[in-house]
Amino acid sequence: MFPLFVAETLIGLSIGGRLFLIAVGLSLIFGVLNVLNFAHGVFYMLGAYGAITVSALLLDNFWLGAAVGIVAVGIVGAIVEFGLIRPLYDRDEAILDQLILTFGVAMIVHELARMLWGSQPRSIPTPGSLDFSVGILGETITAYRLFVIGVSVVVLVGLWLFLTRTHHGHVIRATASDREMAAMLGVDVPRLYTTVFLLGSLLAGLGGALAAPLQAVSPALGDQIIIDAFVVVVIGGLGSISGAFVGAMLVGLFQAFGVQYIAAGDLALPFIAMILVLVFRPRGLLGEDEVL
Amino acid sequence: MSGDDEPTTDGSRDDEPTADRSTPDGPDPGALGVAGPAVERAGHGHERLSFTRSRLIEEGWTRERLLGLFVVWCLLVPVVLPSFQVYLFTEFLLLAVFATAFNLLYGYTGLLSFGHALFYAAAGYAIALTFRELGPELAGVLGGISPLATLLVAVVLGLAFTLVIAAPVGYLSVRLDEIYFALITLSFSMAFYAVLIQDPYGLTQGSDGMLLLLGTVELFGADVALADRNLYYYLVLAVAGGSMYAMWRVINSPFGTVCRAIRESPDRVSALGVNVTYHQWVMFVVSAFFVGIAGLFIAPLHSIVTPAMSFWTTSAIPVVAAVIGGAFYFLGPAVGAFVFLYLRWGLSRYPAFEAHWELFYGLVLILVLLYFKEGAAAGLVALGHWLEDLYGVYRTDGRSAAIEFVRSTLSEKAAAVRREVGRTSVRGRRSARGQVATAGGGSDSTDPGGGSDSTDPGSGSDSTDPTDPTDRPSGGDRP
Amino acid sequence: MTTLLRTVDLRREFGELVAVDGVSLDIVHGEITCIIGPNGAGKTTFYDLLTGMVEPTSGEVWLRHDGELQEITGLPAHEIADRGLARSFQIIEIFERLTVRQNVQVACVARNDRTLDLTTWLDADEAINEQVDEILELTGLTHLAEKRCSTLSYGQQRNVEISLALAIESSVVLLDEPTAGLNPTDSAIVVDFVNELDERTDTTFVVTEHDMDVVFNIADRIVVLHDGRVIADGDPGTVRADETVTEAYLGGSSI
Ligand SMILES: Nc1ncnc2c1ncn2[C@@H]1O[C@H](COP(=O)(O)OP(=O)(O)OP(=O)(O)O)[C@@H](O)[C@H]1O
Ligand SMILES: [Mg+2]
Repeated sequence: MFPLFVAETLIGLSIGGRLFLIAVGLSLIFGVLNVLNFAHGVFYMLGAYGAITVSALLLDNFWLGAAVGIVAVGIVGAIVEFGLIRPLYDRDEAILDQLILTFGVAMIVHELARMLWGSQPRSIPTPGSLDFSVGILGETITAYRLFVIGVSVVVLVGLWLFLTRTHHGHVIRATASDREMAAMLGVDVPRLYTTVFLLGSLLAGLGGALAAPLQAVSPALGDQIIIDAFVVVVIGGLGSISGAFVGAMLVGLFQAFGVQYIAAGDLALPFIAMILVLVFRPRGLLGEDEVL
Repeated sequence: MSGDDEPTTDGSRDDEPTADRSTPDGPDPGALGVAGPAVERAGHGHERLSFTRSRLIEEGWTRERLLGLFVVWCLLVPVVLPSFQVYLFTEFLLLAVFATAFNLLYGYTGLLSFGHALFYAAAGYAIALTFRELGPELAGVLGGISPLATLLVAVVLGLAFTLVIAAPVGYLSVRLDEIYFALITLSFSMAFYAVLIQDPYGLTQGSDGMLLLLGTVELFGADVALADRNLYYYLVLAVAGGSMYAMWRVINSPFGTVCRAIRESPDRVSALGVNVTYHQWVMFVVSAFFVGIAGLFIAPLHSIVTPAMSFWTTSAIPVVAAVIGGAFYFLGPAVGAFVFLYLRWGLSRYPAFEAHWELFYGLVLILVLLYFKEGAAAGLVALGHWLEDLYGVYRTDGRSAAIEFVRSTLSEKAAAVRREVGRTSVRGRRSARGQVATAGGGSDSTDPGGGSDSTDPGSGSDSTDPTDPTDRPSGGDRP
Repeated sequence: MTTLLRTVDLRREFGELVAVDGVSLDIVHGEITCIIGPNGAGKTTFYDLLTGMVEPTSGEVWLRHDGELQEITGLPAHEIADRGLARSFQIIEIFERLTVRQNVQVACVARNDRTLDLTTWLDADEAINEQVDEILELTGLTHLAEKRCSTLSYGQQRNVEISLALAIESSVVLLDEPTAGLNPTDSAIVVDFVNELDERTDTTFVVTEHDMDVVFNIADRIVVLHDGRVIADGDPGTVRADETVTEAYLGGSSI
């Protein structure tokens, strides 16, 4: 039954692409700053709301709305890092304190979103320019879904090139592997941290904005999505970008096939996978120590 | 057994040096009301303090007395408070047990679990299932007293179930640390949540959850509703009191002290010949056990169990309570639970805020993390000391001196807060670099005082020791 | 001359760097052995290997336990400590937010195998607190017993560090630069109680030191490490006269 697999694979890749866009920023931030950002989910939610709200204001142009939303999320992220997370870096229990602190941020943003947009889920139509179907091996898929898969690949490749081929990328990787050494060599570590956090938040916003036409958006979205993101980054390896990609695609394919072939209980399986990875390969399936 | 016997816990040592041993920079015995780790007294109050404390004790204001008053208050709650308040207070007691049990692992062993909802939900579902499955059976056999019997069976089964889950989950979890520990506990609870909500075996009624009604007992011809608000309150009071007392004993036992040492430095503890992961595991199971107790008794109070009991936001409740209340104090998480519930209740009376109480928690949480790492419990302890001092001033120097004391200490405090806020932001700006200078490498240990100075934001500004470092009792029994 | 601790061709690499390079040593009962060597010679790494905190790349470690030498290579740190090998740390590792008394209590609880006792009120346990008082007296910390460690001076913390190593009463105690950062008065006290314990108890000490006064005050035997290798080993007189040693210390500011 070959064609059947094509359908599932396409759906799986589409889910995977979306998951990757959520997880990659989280993983990047953890890889460089050693901060597990609980607020990443609400940033994603903000990105989605940003795209919806702004595009409604701006001539119904989804792309413009998305762009503004993404930038806004990036700015929020940078402010959070600068104002709240930064004072905690030199604590003894920095990692746990930062985790709890970002959790507080998530609560606040969640509530603010509810005040601003209400609890009712919202949605937005697929942007007209990509609202058509494409046939692949006898199956059809909307062009927008293909576009999201494409964006996730572009992000992966772009980050890869950025981190391996540019000066800034080298500095970031050096700081990730040895912050003291980097500081000694004259890197302005605090500023670099803020920049990376900004970048990670931009990616969360991008994921949210692009997902807006694909799912219902509500303030509780962040609470759900952060868990998916945790599953993905743990499976791929916390702090690893290629790991996030592999993890996202695995989980996406898994969900697509799981719906078809596992009668019930498939909701628990990603968590069981996460547990197994943590028990047997805590560094993730790829087992890399590098940010890449 | 609602904690009445607590005053005698200090046992043999009680009459003499106990009080002094815990002052002025106490051994962190954990009790609220006994100086905690980082609460140091302002220098000016020292002598007056000992005067005031002994005076207060003379006048009968001992710790035991205060505790006794609290117990009396608890006993009177159903008499003096309206029904809804009794409900709220019952919930508070159980949440306090939940948060304190969580904190055995977090504040007292150094492991942050983001999945304690698992045990809360496991116990809750266990009692609900027992009542649904065994309730009718037992009613057939035992007749009128069967709800009571069912409750007993449910408690036993629920705790057994909790332990059966906690042992393997803990075993797998404690081998990981910090963020990885938080993540694996999170995934266990979420896996359980997923099972509950999908309900693959048709046991738990999926996302609807299960209703749980305790029923009515026929005793000596009278009908007694087990879920009667006041009756249930007393039941919970006894259970919660007993649990708190048991946990208090655990943290003051040899085992509890070892766990506190593990929190400080696992490597050091294993160099003393102690199997660190094994002890973390035992504490994990103990912690889960008491969480199970909270879950068991919250379910009948709410009359329903739902999958949300195991969702990660439930796991976050004790985290928030412990952080806000103060994780290094035994009663800190209970204080946090109190703030948690009553802040929500208070806000619910203002329609504008009602739906947004989480906003306030978020804000409080962040403020506490940034500026009051010791939490509300530390604040209460400091307030208690301040009141004592104030009382001392009043008794010795009279009213105007007391007013002057209030003015001067308040302005001092304000200045200190301003300084602290300034310091945190400055430190933040330098942080990542600052660390480089002090990061321990090879032989930097020759810097006297170098790494020794803890930078606890809460710990008063002076950590220098008034006694001269070189001042040692000379000789001793050295030849 | 019973051997308590033996290493056979012990080696540890960190990437390119060989921190400990084929060290074979016997530590003998009743003899205070001082291990000296310049910064980076591998002293601390050697201790880490002995105590199981770092895995050796190759080689073996043996420890006398229950009357016979047993191989302990690869055992977890706590089991090695439990079999009678205690250590202090060069970079102070004490329980900062606990009091001095609680610090030593932890060690004494471990010594008495009471770590799984969940019900006793520790502060009221006569047996353990007697042992604690004894240790505190010995290391001169009695008057600080109720202070939190983070409020102590550096020298006092160093003392707590050593107290922990002593309190578990093991057959061999490894001290890693016990006088680092101490003023002369304080180091003299450390020298005193190491000598006293050496005579009074059955404990055998191994000490790394940079301060040569201390070394010649306590050592029965001196082992010189350089670049991870043993370059000299013998009684203090012999080592003092050894030229390779002077050379190793560069510039030869004679020891
Ligand atoms: N975990 C590690 N990773 C990489 N290199 C290490 C590690 N631990 C030690 N080294 C290196 O091994 C060598 C030996 O270090 P070690 O700390 O054992 O020396 P030492 O003799 O104790 O020095 P000091 O007198 O300064 O305490 C040093 O070059 C050190 O940089
Ligand atoms: Mg060393």
